[in-house]
Amino acid sequence: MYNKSDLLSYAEVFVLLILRFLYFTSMIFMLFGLITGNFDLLQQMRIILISPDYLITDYMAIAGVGGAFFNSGVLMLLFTLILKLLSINPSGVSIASVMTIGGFALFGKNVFNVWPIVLGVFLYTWLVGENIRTYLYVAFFGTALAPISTHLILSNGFNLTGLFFVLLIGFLLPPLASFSLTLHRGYNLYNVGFTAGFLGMFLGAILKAYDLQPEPRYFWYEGEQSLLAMFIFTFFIGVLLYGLKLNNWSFKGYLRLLNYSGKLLTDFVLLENEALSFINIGILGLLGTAYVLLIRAPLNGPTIGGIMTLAGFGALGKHPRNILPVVLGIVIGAITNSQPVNSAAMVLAVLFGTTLAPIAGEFGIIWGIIAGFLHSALVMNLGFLHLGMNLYNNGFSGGFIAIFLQPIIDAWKKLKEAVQQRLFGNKDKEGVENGN
Amino acid sequence: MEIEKLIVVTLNEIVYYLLKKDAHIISSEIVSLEKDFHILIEANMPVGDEVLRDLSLIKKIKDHPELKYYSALGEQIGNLQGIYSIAPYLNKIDFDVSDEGLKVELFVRK
Repeated sequence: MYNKSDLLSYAEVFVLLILRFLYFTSMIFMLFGLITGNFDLLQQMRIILISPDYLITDYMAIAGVGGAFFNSGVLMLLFTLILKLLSINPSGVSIASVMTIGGFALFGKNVFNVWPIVLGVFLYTWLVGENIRTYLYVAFFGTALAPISTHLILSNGFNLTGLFFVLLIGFLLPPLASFSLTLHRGYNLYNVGFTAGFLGMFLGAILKAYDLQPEPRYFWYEGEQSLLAMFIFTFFIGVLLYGLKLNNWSFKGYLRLLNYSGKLLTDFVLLENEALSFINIGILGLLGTAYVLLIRAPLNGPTIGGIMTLAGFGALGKHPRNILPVVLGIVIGAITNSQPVNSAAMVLAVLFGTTLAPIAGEFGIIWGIIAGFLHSALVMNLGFLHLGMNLYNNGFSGGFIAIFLQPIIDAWKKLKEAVQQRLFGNKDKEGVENGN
Repeated sequence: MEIEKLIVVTLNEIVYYLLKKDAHIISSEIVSLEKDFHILIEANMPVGDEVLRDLSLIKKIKDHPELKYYSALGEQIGNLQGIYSIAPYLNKIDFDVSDEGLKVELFVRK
């Protein structure tokens, strides 16, 4: 039996380690931004705030590397402070959500456009009389729709009607996100991405109907790489070493972590411990960075965002064993389809497509590859529905793939059993007839 | 999730989990109190380290009200993960292991 004091000290250690990690990550991103942005930082931050930021708007391309990293660090710090302010006992979801916000703050989220969505979610929570913490992570992940804020509120000066609509969008997210979970049953890790895609689809249709749709954007940084590569590698090596240190400089228990399917809610911090979670985060971050460099794609806002998200979900369901089949499926798609493997669409599909890792974790390698292959095609055909307003376009696609594959996998299992039974039945029958 | 439904889901998930662990369910009881529901399950079973670990995990997850949002998954998943997703709704969980088996007590606030 656990006694109360054991549990308390255990919880306190959790809070300290995870918050310390999130503060450190924020600070290091801000520091890197300050050093690289130098005197231009304020100007870069101004550009980031006022520019439209729907897909694909790489802050490194429109403003600069320094501004993008500083913006990312500030956002991570602010969201970590919210966790602290609400006395949240942080877990794997906290790491996944804050790192995802940090990643997307390199290409779409900024210190202005995330708040109306967050406020909308809090408004819903307050009006239905729920605890403010209940939908906290819906608010965090819901910032996927942040570009809508910039488009509706700031595109023609400050627009109050636009603010009302964005609050309404945030307001609708909690009930929709809860319902979405029941559709894909936890097999799509970016559940709010799927929900945001739905909302964005309706919004995109309305904007188009009233001829208010934004022009397509494509800003993709391909500048100086060595400094970025060095920073990202050093960061994830640091996280890996931190995890190893907490785990007494060993990988003990890591094989156990690889046996989880990863289906929601697989919070590695709660189910295992923070040490193994950090080891996993470090490994996934290094794998993601190595992949991007190996296929000669640039490290920029969207790709580093993808790496951050991949690594962040290393605390919430992803691990090398369940992501590799999905990655393989997407790479097969990329090699055989019309898109180059290192094109923006395909490199992002690989990094973010790992949202389908639970399919491979639960149903095996083949289904993981099939899921990845389907994702490589579907993800290219969905962005126009929400006009790039949903930053988690891969989560939107992942939701559809998970919904589509589940009944097929069930049917396949039944078919396999029936065929096996029939074959064995026939053999038995033949055996009896032959007098064996 | 509607509170009464949550109670039924919680009871179902735990009974299902125990049955999968070769338990003989002796009794299951739901008492409706003024402020909460009290669920009591008694099972005759070999209580290994794995069961103890799983129950202590539920105890750990219950301290995370911010994970309530994932409870929608509890309606459809018939395994331990179903319990994880509804655990944040639990107010208190106690378990007692003896030679005769396992007694699990849960309180869910109304």
